[in-house]
Amino acid sequence: MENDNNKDHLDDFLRKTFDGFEANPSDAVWARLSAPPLDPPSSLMKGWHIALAVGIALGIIILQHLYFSNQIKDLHQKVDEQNNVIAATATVVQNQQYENTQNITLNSNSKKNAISIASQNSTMKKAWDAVTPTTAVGQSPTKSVGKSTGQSAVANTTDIVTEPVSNTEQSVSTLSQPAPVLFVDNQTNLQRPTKLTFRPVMLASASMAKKIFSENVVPKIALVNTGITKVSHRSNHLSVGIHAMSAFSTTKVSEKEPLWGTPPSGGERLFLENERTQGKVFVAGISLQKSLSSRWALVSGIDYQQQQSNKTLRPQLKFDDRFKHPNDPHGGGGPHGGHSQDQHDHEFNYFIGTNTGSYLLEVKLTQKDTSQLIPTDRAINFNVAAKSKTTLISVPLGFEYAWSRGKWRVFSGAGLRFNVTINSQQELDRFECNSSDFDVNRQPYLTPSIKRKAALSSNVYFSSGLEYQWSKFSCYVAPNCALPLSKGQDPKVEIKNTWVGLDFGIRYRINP
Amino acid sequence: MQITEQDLYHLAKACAEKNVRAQQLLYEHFKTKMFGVCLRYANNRQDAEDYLHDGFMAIFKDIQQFKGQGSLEGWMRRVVVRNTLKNIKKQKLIDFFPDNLVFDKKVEDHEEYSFFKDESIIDLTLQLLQSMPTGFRTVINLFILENYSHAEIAAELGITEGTSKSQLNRAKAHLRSALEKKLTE
Repeated sequence: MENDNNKDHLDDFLRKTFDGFEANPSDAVWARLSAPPLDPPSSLMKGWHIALAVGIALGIIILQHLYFSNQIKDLHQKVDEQNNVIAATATVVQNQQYENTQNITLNSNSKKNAISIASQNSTMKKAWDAVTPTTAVGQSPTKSVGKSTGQSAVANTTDIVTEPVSNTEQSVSTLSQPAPVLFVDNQTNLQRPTKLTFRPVMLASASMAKKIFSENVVPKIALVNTGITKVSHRSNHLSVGIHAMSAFSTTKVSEKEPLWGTPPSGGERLFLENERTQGKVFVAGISLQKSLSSRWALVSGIDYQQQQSNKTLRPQLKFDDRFKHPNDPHGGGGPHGGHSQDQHDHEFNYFIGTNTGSYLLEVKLTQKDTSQLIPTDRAINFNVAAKSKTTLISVPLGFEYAWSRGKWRVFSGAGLRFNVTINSQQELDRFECNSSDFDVNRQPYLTPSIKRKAALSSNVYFSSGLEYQWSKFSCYVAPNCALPLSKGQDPKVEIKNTWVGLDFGIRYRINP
Repeated sequence: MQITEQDLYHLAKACAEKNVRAQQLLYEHFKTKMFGVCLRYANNRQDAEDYLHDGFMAIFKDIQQFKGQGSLEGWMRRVVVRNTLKNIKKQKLIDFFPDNLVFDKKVEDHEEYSFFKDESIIDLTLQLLQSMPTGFRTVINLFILENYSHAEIAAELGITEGTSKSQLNRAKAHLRSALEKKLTE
């Protein structure tokens, strides 16, 4: 500072004039300050959470695909080999170029019909061995049903269940002669070791056998092959679908600790605040389901989520909770600070926390009876009704465990849902002061249409459902519930958002 | 209830934790004082509100740097002034007149202004200050009202110390003339 200039009267004049100079800005300044997020959108930086989750999901899907693709390729090769053998054998049978003097043994201990083949060198034996490599259960010949023209020793006994059972049993029972028929059932669990299902594999049908015998042909072994008509691998399919969900949500907001200081009226906080909000949640989106095994599946997708809620707050403030300007000797409120406030005007700044941020509600009350001295601990009750609407993009990531029976599938699942808030709006619906001591001088100002970008939250969900499959399509319905994991942005405010909903959708299965 | 410096320190800490209510209370507490500062630097009220807005944005952003040493108000005032100068420079509002030796001589000031600190004098002075060229107004604000040295002003505005001195003298002459004229009307 340059002292010579301090001697100037103009300098002194200016200093005295502007010493403690204050002026009141318009309310628009605070509205602009509070409109964008006051805190830097640090949650944007947490977008990597979502990227990581999506990356993990995609990685699992790709690894699964690669792993099972190789297995499927091997299995297809085996199936082709078996088909070739069976087809060749069938040709032999149809041309009756088979050996027909082999011992046929019926194993009556099997659940249904069982045929044992005793043949060391026939084409049938080779075919049989080729298509039933894993189902041999040992030999237990009990009854000879064929013309025994050779030795009765059973070299290889295979336990096979016929399919369809009823047809088979009927056909066998009506045969006039012992039926040298080989049956391989649809349900034969050839797929067990490899998780493949071969169905139907039939080496001979009862009807064919009946025909053969009715024509008085004496084939001892009849073999008709329908081929391996269907191969499915239940543990490698990817399903895509669309779904929608309607839910009922409850939100509980509670402030964990007082903001600052202890009011003279006592207690631990400046503002009482505990509220519960009820609303509706609507979700629509694309779902992905990747089977990991016959029962486990990874589920993910991307959803558009909209939450609408009507909340009623009933804050009870103490008179001493009013905003007090330090320059105001009366302790009154008002935006004019210590210069022009009316000591009978009282300003209350009420804070509303939602799951997407914090909002301010300002109200100014005028004391009706100006001669009345209001005790500082006088309770003032407010009724505040507000509507809020929040839009989110969410990514679920979870697992399902399923039980299948026929075309029905029952499943149960759990996982995480990552939500990114893309928009949040809140409107004041109604405001009332229930205290007869005051008039509402200035209608409350509720920060309108605040947009908060990329506020990340997450919850854990549980679901169970029923799915019906036809062809490659399936439809399902799944009741579910969600519980919060994250507590919102403001560390001082604890927000618990819970919902119960009903999810329904359709899926299309993409086979590898 | 009087708010002590300790309370303000706690309030600043709450603001540093991005508590919106604390930010609103801080704004309510200091908005009139900071707006008074902004008005002195601005051409008009609208510009002053813009400076106030940007100043508080900077305060909320940097408030974790306030460690309770010194007064919060002083720290906030420095942030607001620094941010306002940044805005003025960014908008290229400063228009320094060329140095002129005739005007750059220090003008002796023998006039003793009768001082009545009432609303009309404040409004009049503020009006005159706002009507001055931005360069004049900025130097007067920094030197006389913020107690910056010419070296500091030169560093802040990117000019030489000599320019700062000459601008100050000319600004004072300008203001003195306008003020005397108004006071004698």
